[in-house]
Amino acid sequence: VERKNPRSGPDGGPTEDALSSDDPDAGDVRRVLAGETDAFTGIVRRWQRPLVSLAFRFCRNRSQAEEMAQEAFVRAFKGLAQWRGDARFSTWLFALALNVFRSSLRRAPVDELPLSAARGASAAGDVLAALAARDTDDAVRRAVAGLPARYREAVVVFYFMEQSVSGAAEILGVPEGTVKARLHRGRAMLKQRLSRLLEPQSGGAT
Amino acid sequence: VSSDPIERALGNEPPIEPSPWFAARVMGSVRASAPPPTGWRIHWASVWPGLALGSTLAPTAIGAAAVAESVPPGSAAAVLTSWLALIVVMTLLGAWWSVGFIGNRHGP
Repeated sequence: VERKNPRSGPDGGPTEDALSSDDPDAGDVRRVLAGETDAFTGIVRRWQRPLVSLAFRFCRNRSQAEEMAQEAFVRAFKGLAQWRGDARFSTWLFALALNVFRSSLRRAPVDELPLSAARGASAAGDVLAALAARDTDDAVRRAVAGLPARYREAVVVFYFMEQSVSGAAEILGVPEGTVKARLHRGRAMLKQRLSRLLEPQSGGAT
Repeated sequence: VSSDPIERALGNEPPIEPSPWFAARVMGSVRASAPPPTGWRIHWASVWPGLALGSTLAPTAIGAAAVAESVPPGSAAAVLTSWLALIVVMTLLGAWWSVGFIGNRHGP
């Protein structure tokens, strides 16, 4: 399902229109490549929020997300000459960041503890309280972080790109059909895990 | 708002605001990773053409100088030799300028 809003970029990043009319990224890239290192500040300021947000969706830890995003920015700076301008800068940056995040998460995998912790909390109190929207949202997001890498990436990037299959496919570097298949499988796994988490506790906690 | 808890949770996740010092920290790492500014970093892509041209012309000039030794001053052979020598010098100066000018750049 394509529900991308063309007026707004992912998580507050520059809009597509803004990039096409007067591309500040291309200008900054040119200046950096000409030797003006400080011009990279513009790129960092424009993309820090989307990149930290994307990292956070993978690791669910703010400080780790900032470290991952920082590493992605440094890697982008070093590889800036590889951006040819045929793809949007944001697509190139997110794809590069995804590679960095992937390596980082391989070194320090996200554990699935939060799911069982949430279950324990709901068992101790009112089951309805565990179903309150905020807790449920948090449980779902943590469950995503615990999915196998290929499904986690598809789910995270799809929703990060405002539910655009084509956008996710570009960043992941796979065909749209692959994204759809991984989304389907990822959602099925989530439903399975969350049904266990949210089902009423028989007999209560002891 | 979707009734599906998965759609609702993932489709409405608010962005994370980076720390106020995040950009400065990133730029610190970026500057540390950038090669230091140097006036004499050789940009080989610019030097090769000059060197190639110079190494082609130098034997010609040397050969012409050898011929010039046996010709009287002011003759056509002597004038030709002078021009060739001038071209060699200009080529070497051009290569040197390329190294000095482009070598001043620093970036990724």
